[in-house]
Amino acid sequence: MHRIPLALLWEMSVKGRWPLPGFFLLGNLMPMFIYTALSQLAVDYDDPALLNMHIIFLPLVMFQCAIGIVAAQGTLSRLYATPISTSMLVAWHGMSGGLLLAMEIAVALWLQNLLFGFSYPIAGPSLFAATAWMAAQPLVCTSHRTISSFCVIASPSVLLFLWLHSRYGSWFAQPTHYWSPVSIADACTLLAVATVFHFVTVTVVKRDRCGERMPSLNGWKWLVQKWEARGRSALIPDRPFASLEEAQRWYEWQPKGIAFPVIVLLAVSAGVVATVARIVALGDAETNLRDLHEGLLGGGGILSIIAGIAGLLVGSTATGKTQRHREVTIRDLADQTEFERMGDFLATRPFDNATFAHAILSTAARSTIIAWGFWATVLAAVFVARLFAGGAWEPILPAEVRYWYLPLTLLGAWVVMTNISTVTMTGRGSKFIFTGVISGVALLVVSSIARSGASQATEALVVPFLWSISVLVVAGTVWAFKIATERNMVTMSLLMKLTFAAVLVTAVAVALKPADMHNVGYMLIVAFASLTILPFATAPLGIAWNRHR
Amino acid sequence: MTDSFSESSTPIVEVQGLTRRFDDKVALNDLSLTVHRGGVFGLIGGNGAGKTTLIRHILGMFKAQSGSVKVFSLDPVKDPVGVLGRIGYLSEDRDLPDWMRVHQLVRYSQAFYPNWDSAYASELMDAFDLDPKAKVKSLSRGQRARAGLLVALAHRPELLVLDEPSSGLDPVVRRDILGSIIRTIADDGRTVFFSSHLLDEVERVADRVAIIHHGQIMLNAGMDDIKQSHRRVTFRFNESTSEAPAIHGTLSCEGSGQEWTYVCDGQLDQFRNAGQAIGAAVVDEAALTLDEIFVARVSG
Repeated sequence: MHRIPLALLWEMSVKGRWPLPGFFLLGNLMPMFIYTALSQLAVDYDDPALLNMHIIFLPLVMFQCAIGIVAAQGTLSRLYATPISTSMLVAWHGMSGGLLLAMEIAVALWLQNLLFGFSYPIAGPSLFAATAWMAAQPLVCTSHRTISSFCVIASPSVLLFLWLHSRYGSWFAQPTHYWSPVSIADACTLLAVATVFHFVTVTVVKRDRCGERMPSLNGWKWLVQKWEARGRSALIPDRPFASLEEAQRWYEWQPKGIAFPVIVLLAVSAGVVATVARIVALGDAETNLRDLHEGLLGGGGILSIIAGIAGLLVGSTATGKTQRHREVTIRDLADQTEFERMGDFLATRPFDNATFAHAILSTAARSTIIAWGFWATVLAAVFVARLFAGGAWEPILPAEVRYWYLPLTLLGAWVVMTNISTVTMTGRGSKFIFTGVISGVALLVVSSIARSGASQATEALVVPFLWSISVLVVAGTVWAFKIATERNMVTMSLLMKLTFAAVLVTAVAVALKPADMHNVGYMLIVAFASLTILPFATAPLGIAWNRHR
Repeated sequence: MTDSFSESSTPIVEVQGLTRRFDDKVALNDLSLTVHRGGVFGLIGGNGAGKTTLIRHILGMFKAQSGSVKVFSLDPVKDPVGVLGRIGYLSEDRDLPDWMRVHQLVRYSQAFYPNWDSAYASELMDAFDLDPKAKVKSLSRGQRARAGLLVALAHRPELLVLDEPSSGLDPVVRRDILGSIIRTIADDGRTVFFSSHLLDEVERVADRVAIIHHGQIMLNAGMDDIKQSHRRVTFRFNESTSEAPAIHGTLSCEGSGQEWTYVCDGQLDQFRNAGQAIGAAVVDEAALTLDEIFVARVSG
């Protein structure tokens, strides 16, 4: 019997050869970017901002690494017909994934400590990651999920993450110190939680294995019925669609475009609810609102990460085949073989590739604007509430960009979402993972050289690297537009408008540049401006590449 | 049936010297095929013969690596709107957007086809016993095929392409719905191009048949011609032999001793005479089913 876990490990290593490093890198990119930027400012390790960032980034990195592991492991239901007891099945699945996640978190934190000179705790977060993995197993392992079952099973996770927060201070207040060392009580708590969730998973999988569905909440059913009866008419007009473009925009929005605003709405709402709870429990409205305000501002940067994940979804052109076999969209995001290729249904709709690409891009634009709008509205509302609570008129904005931070977060989310969705549109996303891995490694090397402060090394390596990347992006943009124009995918009038937009972005960025900006900064600005318009050429080309193989 | 696929009618699909490789594997090997307007064209072949690959080229989902594909005299890759707007397609894996409900699928599909016939769509919805409120995800494989067929048919396409349409359908649905639809469309003067491995079904509805094997068209002829030209002939020889005596025109043969049964292709009289010329007497003669012809062609 000892061969079965070995077989599962082998399967995980083969299936995960791309998703595991890919999602590890994806999860660590944003923290690395931000820490690299902060290293230029010589932020002290004991600065509360670094402590907060550690606590914010930890679950994000954990989540993205977990996606890679889920993709590598595959569905548990594929093993239902094998002669293995449910408890063993759950144990092998849970323990191997938990161990791997703990190792990934340990490596991520070790790298951050090594590259940026921090002393972030490793043992506690790694053990917590393994426990959180076990807590997620009841959801990960079942093949039938409803939103109500999701809520019931996921609720204890909120407590678990609050407990994690309490290791850095108290349950609801601002963190005060790092979680170090891990006490015996902490270790026992984590072990007990993991054990409890193991048995919960076994119970859930036992039901799932014999086809018993998770109980559904009647209240939820009622809500769904109401939505079906009333809300649907708002989404689908009773009249036929006026054009195929309208039909396709509806198609793109329904299952994909809506994800980004919903995620942002949920995250922002969670922050607001937690703040209100803290104000009710502890008082001191001004301080708590200020914390929320700062958190929301930090969230402006995280919008780009969420936009990247949403971009994977928005750019997907797989239709029903994927979902027919598995029901969790997030798992589909990571499985290159099933997820990538354009479905037959979409591929045989009688529209041209440019129309298709524009429907996806307009969905991405709508999705980004609505998500950003939620965030910006709540940010403004919290700022006003702070003023009413006695706070000073002191907009807490990054000093370098001030109010331009707001449009920058919008533009950043747009650039990330549309360029990642374009990669997905090609139906060959796994080919780009290699490029991503190489870029990530190069970025780490460059950031550590820049951090070293050695001006000679910076001039010799970092500057040429940044020049090369920027020139590559700009040249790639020009080349993509040349090809797209030749294939009638981009009209001359659109090309003129986009060129104007890129010039405008460049001009604004140059006007706002720091006084002592290095020359390479100009090239980076032009490259960024190119990235804002690049998807208008690459999206139809990517669709064509996927559709006509 | 005999009026269909007249050689003088306009070619609707023209494939010339098409080759497709997937890494080292050659899926289509210098394949040429012409399908004329009107009638039912059946494409048969074993697993991995290249049926779906050929269909995907016709739909523009594969770009010809060498050779050319024209549908309605257009390149399906360069002009997907011009080609796909006139085609109804049911894929082998019944790929449909799972998150939609059936009525949403119908409304969405309607937007793409100016010729969409809403009354016909409703009629098909009733005939196929589809619940408009049902989610596509919750449909059984058979219901899914019917939903796919509905959206493929409701715009009254000039060319209906069906990739293994019977897969997942029970025998009653297969005979009553699929069979009648295919014939109705063909009798309307439109064209049906379908692949299947259920040869009795192909035999029942197809006017013309092509056998694809190892990426090449092995036989392409009218159904009546195929059945007339293929015969099973049993000869009795004067002497017992361990191997079947060679007769020109043999596709396959089996037997032992003095009695050998041949499947022949071509002129029956000539074949019979060739047997008699080497001292054999005809013991039995019979027509073949398409299934038997296919086996003789592919394994012979």
